[in-house]
Amino acid sequence: MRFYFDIADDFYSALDHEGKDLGAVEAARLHATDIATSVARDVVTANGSQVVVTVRDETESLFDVTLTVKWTLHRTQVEFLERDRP
Amino acid sequence: MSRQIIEPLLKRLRATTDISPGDEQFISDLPITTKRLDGGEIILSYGDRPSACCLVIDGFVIRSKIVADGQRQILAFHQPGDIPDLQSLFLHVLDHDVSTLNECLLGFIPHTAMRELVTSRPMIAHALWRDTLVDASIFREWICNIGQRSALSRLGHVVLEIYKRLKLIGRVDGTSFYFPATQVVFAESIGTSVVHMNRVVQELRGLGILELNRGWITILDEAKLTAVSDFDELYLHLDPSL
Repeated sequence: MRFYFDIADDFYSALDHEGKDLGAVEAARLHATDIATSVARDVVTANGSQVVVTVRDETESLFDVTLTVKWTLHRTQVEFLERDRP
Repeated sequence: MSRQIIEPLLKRLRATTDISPGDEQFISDLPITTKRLDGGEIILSYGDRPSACCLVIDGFVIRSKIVADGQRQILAFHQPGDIPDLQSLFLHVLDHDVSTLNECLLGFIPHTAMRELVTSRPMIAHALWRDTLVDASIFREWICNIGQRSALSRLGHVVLEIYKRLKLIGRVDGTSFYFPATQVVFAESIGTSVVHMNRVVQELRGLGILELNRGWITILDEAKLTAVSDFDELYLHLDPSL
């Protein structure tokens, strides 16, 4: 089975024109997760917060894998600003 | 043996080592059998025991390895004048695959002739030894690339490496050069998925840094590309006087 993995994040979206032969939907899910985590590294370091990988087969769209970054502050933002001040 | 066949190798050795005109004559006298291959063809496979070294005369060659899940990792790109399997002279069983990227003209030099050459001409032995050390330096840089850099830097780094090395043998036109790797091939060299590679290409184009167009690569802003790629050409050891 040939699967296609399109990506969309805070900055760019890219269509997969090549696709990849994988044995099963479960393998496609794992591959999509792999793509999402690797793209997330680039997106998050550029202050983005989300990556969506949409998985298609030859005929239709199958599912999304969404990776979102969540920040939870344990102090106020003002406190952090003070800490970072040289 | 026609001088043109050996010229890319001589050009590189002249630029990066101290070989003499006498050494050049010995290299030119090597017995070389040429062979033309299409793109994507296997030259040597894992486990092979070659009895000749393969010289790239025209085209590009890939060294790669298939990892457990069937994924291909590209280990190195080779250009005219390179001898990708020089190690087979001493390491008799190949531990990776060697294949063509595009249509190639290859020259095969029997190991026996190579051994005689390095025994009789010590400066040539030094030059080839230096070659294998530079090879190792490039592998160290690729470890840093794949292990630490962002996908954008990785691609930029590989592109700059190809550009600097092609420049040495006069195969660039300004900041454009022909290197017909598909996005799949680039993805396999920087350890990303194809779609991630596609994203990086968009980003570099959007920033006005780099353009990939049907096998032609154009560096639009070399200073910016060098900066975003964390690129320092020292590891290529292009200048023997340093």
